[in-house]
Amino acid sequence: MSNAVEIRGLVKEYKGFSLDNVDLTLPGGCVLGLIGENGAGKSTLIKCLLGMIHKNAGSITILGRDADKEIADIKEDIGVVLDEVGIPDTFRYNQINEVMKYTFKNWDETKFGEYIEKFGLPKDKNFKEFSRGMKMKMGIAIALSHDAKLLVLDEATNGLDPVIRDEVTDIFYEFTRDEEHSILISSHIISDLEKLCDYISFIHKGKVLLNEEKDVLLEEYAILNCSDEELKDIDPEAVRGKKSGKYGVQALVKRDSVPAGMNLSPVTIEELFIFMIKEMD
Amino acid sequence: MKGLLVKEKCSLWNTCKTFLIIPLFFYAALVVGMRRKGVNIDGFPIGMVFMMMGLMPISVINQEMASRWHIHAMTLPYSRTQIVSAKYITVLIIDLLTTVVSAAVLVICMAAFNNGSVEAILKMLFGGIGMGLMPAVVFLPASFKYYDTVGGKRMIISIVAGASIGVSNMFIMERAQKSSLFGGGFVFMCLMIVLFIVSWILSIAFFRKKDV
Repeated sequence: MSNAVEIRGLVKEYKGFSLDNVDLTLPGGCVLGLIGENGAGKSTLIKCLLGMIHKNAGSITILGRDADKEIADIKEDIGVVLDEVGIPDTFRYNQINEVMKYTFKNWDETKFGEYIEKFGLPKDKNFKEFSRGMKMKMGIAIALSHDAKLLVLDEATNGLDPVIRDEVTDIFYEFTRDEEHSILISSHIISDLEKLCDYISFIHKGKVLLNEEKDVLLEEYAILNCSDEELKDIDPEAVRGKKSGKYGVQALVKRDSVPAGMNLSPVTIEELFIFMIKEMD
Repeated sequence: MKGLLVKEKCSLWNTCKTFLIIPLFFYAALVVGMRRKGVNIDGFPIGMVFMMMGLMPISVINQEMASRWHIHAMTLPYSRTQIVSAKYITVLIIDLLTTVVSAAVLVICMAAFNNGSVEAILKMLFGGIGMGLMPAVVFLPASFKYYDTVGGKRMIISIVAGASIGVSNMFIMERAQKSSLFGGGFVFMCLMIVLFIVSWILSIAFFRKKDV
């Protein structure tokens, strides 16, 4: 299957911040988690992807089509949930359904109604009366009701309580059971992404530090607990970050560069991210 | 595009219902005026009706900002040109409906009070159509230029432009009344149609450059 998203050499410059020559690939049928701290450039990247802001350079291909030329048409196949769901405050279920019915060629009223039931959303209340969790669920219901092939989720689980976050993660997981469906999800809640993603991309100060398969990362890297002297014996190229403490050193290392017998423990994506970012800073 | 127009219809219905009372008030003022004066059709109420109706789609923009619809719309399968054009088409539809209703009211008044003429009605309607387009001509390019900003410039532009449009109504509609059929009111309407098209093109140009 071809790539769902291909970004090459993307540059977007602002005063004091820029997305710097970003390359990113989301293979079709996969989930890519975009991880970065607040202000790292995740939302800017997603806005460039969706044509909401203009890029200074680079090319973007979505579902095999050139985003520069066909972005409005491509959005027929994209479900988007941003950190705030922008439905007019006075709208109710019927009006949202009516607008979307005339917006998406593949709008499925029955499916939308089913999601509303499934999420327990009220049909007779104005959108402004919804809680944040309910609003996010409405956004997700809309994104899933027009046969989208790609979901773009920007901090879509932020501010949700853990129970709802878990529910929502399950829904995304279900969505990816279809091999044609892909998800690009950005968040700084790494535990959510760790569960869901096949690929992980770290973004820091506008630069993509890595874009790799999650399992490969977890296999390739480990946490080494040792002394300062022991660490010096290891190839510096293999050490991607370290933390010194009272009782020795904790280092993020490449497994295959560490001699057998040393104290290695598995790394989580969160640890991997924190070590790499601290090393960069 | 149809989805955007449906959205405008729903937004107008939800938030601007009170605007619909305003024409009733001005039509009543018109009826009283025609009956008491027994001479001329007063242009001021007609101009106000068109102006208030023309302001409705503009006032919806504030609601869009508050609810972040203006950002959500950019995630839907619409081009920037379509997002801009939906606003202008809504203004045209409202102006057309206002023209039909106002014409009906004026004709009924003319018949009921045996006062006025077809020419006088047409002059009022020409001026009114121009007044209905005026808010869009003034406000929409500014709205699309400062699309994602609230307060500040948007507020200042709204106050200055709103006051100017309100004051101009009396002046324009009086001229429309006193001039010939293809005089003041007609010329004003033609001018507004040209400016409406220019404003439409400008708004598209502004919005195409805008980062949201």
